[in-house]
Amino acid sequence: MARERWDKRMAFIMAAVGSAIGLGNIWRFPYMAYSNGGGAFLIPYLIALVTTGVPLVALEYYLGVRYQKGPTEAYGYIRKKSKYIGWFSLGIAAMITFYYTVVMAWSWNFLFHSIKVSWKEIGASNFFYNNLLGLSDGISNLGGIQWPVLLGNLLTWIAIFFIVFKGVKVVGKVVKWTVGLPWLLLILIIIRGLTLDGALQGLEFYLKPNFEILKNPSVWLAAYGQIFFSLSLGFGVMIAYASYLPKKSDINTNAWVVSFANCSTSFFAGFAVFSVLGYLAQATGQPIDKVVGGGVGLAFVTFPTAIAQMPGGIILQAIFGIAFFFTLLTLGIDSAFSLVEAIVTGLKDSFNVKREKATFWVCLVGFIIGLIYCSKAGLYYLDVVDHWMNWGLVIVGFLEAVLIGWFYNTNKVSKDIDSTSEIKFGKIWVFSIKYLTPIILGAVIITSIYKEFSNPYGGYPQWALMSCGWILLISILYFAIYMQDRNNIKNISFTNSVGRATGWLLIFTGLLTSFVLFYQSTTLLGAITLIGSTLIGIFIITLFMELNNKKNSY
Amino acid sequence: MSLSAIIMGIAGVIILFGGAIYGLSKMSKENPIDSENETD
Repeated sequence: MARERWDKRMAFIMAAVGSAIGLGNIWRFPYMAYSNGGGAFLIPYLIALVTTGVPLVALEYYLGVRYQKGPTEAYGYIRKKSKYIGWFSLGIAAMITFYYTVVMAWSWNFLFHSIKVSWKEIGASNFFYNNLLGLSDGISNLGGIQWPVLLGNLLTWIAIFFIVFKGVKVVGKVVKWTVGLPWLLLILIIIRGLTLDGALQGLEFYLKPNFEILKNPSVWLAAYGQIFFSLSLGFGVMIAYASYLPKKSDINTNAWVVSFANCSTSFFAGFAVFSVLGYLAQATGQPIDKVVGGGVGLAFVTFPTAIAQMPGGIILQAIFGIAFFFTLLTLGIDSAFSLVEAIVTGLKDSFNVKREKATFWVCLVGFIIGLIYCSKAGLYYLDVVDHWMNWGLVIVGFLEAVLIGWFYNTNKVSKDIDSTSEIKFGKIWVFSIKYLTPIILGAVIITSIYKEFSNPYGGYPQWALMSCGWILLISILYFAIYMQDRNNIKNISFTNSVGRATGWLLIFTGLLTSFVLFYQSTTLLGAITLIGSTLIGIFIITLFMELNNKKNSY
Repeated sequence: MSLSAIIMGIAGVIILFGGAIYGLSKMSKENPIDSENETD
């Protein structure tokens, strides 16, 4: 059967831009720039964009365009034993989608409550944490379901299902709105923001350059990290979307346009965020560094607080609130359905299942797993899982650069990419994929490991960090290796299958035992069990895989 | 606002948006994908 195609090249560009532009452009980049030298951050940011961002996007497009398959199969063409990278990236994409839709659910709720600016009397913080989330006293206390959040989550999944199940032609039509509208709304928010008192002081904090800080390597790592997370890399989304382009498509120019469009949106969003923060600081008589922040707090506490303080009465406040939360929704929804599209494409290509069926099951499973994030402890779980999934993305980026850079003919790929592209990258691409990207992402991984052990994340109990963090991440890796292994089970002998099953059983038992040990706070023993059972299990599985390969090659 | 902040703001807009527009201009010159779509 002929592969589906985008209607037009622009539909693909818009979909890829929509996927890359998400909530992070509003709540991550401006804060990151502010904390890392203000306007001076633009220098490492632009260098990171050109030296690793665009080349990595081009690499993912290359895999999709040339092999005409989603991530699970495309990696297999580079090296048969690398399919696990594709499965790993899809596992990470799935875990992220399951909580990303819940953030959309909060936005639906805030959009609805913007009509009356419901948080005006009780305060945005109180409204968000107590009324909407009903936040429990800790991660151990699930406390039941928060129905408005559940309803919002259901709405998001239904929207995703209807966008994805018909294929990329429908996606191409939807993204015209989900990319165009937030841009228009951002312009409106900026115009309104700039007319508020204190807006210019806010922008001063955002843009005033501190060039001294550029001597600090951590600023450069932050810039490279920001570029990596911002461009939807490592999820397999870019591979999946590109696989619906014709085989001779222009790769570099598409990568260039999508990357620059994404980064200009981030920079632009900073104007909206900091003009409003400047106003809030002045209205509340606080210094700006007391109101500035990023993440969930910025979108669902700081911004609503500013909205409730704005001049012009409740109608203007309501209009601003609706504009802001509708921007969040439109920014987020195309990132969410791009993740689902990547998973659906992966399943479709690997198992030959129908798109409708794959979409239905992904949405249903996503909704069910998302129930935990709709509980009263949902925010805690979301926070911990999000922290570790970011790790997973960096690992995928590192693996894909090493795979192409060191286990494949990079020069050949570079020439191939340039041959169909208007913009040529030449040797810069080879240098980036072979040396720069693995070194930078390797450094990000090492510094993160160091931070993780020197200062456990967010003050959560050890068992929560271990089970929602390490164990979840390692489980996704096992799942990925298993999915690769199951492709090699043709002509397998009984002894061989028993051997492999023993390996998997060992890994699974180790996982459960270590979970119990972590829960009982015997962390060291838990870690030894986890690492030991993993290594021995993988050794056994690899041994039997090799024996089988040898037997088949005779 | 200080002059340095204004300069960084303008520079950021010009470089980032300029980059995107440069890419788009390369696209509009030749668009083989759309025509390929027909035959692919």
